[in-house]
Amino acid sequence: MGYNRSEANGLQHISSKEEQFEQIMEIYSTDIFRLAYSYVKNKSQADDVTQAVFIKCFTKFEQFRGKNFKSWLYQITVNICKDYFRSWHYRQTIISDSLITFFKEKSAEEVLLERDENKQISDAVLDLPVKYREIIFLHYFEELSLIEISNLLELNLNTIKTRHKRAKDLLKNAFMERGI
Amino acid sequence: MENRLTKIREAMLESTFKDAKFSEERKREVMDSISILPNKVSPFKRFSLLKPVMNIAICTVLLGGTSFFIFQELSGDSSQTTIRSGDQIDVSQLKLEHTVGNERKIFSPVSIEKAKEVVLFNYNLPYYLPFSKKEPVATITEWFEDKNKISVDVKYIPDTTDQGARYVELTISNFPNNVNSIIKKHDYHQEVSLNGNNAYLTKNENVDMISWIDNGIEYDLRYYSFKNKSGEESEELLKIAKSMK
Repeated sequence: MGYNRSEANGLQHISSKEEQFEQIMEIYSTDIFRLAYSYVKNKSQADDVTQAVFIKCFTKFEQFRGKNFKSWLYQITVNICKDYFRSWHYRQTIISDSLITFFKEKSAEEVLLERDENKQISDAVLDLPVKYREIIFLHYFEELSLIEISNLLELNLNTIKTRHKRAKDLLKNAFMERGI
Repeated sequence: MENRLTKIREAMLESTFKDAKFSEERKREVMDSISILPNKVSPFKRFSLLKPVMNIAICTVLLGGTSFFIFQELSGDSSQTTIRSGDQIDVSQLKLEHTVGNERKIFSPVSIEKAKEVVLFNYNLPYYLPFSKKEPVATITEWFEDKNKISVDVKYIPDTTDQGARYVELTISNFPNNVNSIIKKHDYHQEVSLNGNNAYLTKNENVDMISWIDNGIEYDLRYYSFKNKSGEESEELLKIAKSMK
């Protein structure tokens, strides 16, 4: 998959490329889905994003230069998520979801679940503003170093360090508020 | 606090992500979408996608008065083409697949035997592969600006799925291409000796690469492995490379 890889290869041998691609999707789809979910916080939208990521991955396959395939997929995911936040569709969905949540009565199971510590920790992370959430998720869930996060998000390392510190402060407060 | 932070992964796996994964239905949708992506674009649509490039081409044709010659070159009408003086390729036996901007011509894949016949410089292919393979094909690329610049791309794919998600890709170029850039930028992990030449090894998450120059020909050999890795991919790659003489 070098820069001089022939595009015709993909066009002519679509079946073999599809086979490889299916395997790639099998390997990475769960990771991509989770990363997407950490941004959009909704299963159906995470599915949409993951789907878009793999289609983009397929069409841009020739551009991958073999450095780190997973990082490349993550970069596509982050960019698609950020584009999605800017979209009209996303803003509309957020408004409708908030209204549904506000009016919906919680079931006994949901109430029990919410008392669960794991769920509390997870929700505290997901409730962070996105610029802090992405750093916490990538660092503590994906176990990426701050340098790797800086490369992935294409942000200065000092910015990442500042946001990481601020994110930890916010999370600490959130944990205290949730009594965990 | 640190305890809580280190627990984030476990907590999210046990709660939010417990049953959450990319649905099988969506996977099928992706496969359906990609199956119609590149090879089912209608000629008309392909033309419209290339409209900016075609506009430039039309201007060139009008200004230069060489429309007939350029049409023959871009149309891939192989019956009219012959070996040109100084060329490194016999295009008369190839069919033009498509062009990449005004940079490269990519020909339809041919068997590796046919590639050996039409490419007029000598190169080596591997005798050894760590898996039994499907019949490989070669894709030949010719650069517009210098008709002597040719690259041959060969992909070796396992013939059965039980041999793992892996494949080998070899790119051979008769001009300073990727390998020269790797050496110049010191973009490799290890330098090794290979059949009397210096070769440059690079190891990444899913791919082991080795690059070298032999008799002025660049070789870029990559071993992709996505799961069930043996841990011996670098050694296998070296064995493949050593068999190319």
